[in-house]
Amino acid sequence: MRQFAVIGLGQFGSSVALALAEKGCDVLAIDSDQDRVDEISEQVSQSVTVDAADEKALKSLGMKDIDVAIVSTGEDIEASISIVLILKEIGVKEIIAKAVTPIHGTILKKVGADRVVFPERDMGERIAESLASPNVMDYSEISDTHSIVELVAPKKFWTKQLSDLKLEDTKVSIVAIKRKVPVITAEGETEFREEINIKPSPEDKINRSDILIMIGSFEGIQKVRGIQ
Amino acid sequence: MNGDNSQGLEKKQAQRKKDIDTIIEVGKFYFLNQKFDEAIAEYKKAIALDSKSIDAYYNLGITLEAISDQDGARDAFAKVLELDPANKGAQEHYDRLVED
Repeated sequence: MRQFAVIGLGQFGSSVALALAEKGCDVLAIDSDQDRVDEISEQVSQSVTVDAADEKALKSLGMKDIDVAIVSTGEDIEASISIVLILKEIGVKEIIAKAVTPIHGTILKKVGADRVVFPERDMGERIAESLASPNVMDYSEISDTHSIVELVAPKKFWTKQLSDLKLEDTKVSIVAIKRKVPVITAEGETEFREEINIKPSPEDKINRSDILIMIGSFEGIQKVRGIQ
Repeated sequence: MNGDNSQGLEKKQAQRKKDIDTIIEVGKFYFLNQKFDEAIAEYKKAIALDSKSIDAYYNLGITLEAISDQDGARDAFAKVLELDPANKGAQEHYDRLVED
């Protein structure tokens, strides 16, 4: 099983550590704040209170066997750069670091981070997308030119088969359909069950309660979003 | 005389409650048949007759959430919680919508 270390247990770090632990992964959680460590200690395999920017202290933790280290001390820019450097020196196989600015991200890459994430920026973009267009349920850029988007099925699509949508010009593919199916619970209450149809066939019809998961270029997705 | 009046009023209220319940049941029927707009119209009709109908607001919330009208659904569940703060189902839906 892969071993993870999460350094910095702020909102982002503790969310990552808890999500990994929930998936059954071995997680070593590290922070210099005792309260933050205490908060998470029962849910992760191991937790330590230590200043990770202190080279000696971090090396004493025996991080050699760690497969992936997530450095989420983003706000403390200097500390995050030092930690990445130390982890690289220790020989941690993969280092993922959280950055707060593009320059910070560039430095982290230069000192050895294999991947740099910008959670605040990404979340900001997602929120802006969903606010600008309420029919966008989720949005994520997968490259500089393409994104994946969850879009409430436009009215024009309702009851139509996928093959009738004529999306070829937009070069957008519907890769999955999320559908809310109405049900009645044992208590007699109305509810809905969410079903997901991965790789829908051209004959599949679109329902009013569908959310289309689409992949395509920014321009293509923009065109589909313009359809009412 | 007063007794007759209050009995008449009770009868009227009971009949009104029955009418609202029937409207909500019709709404549920439409919802189960994926006729969401018709279901919404029925629940709104029930709310027009009784602006404190927890059932009508709850079912309206479920239907709006099913068609991804997040704001509308959130408002409907908030109304349920205003009328019945201990409503577990509405609380769960509301929390999920706020998180989204």
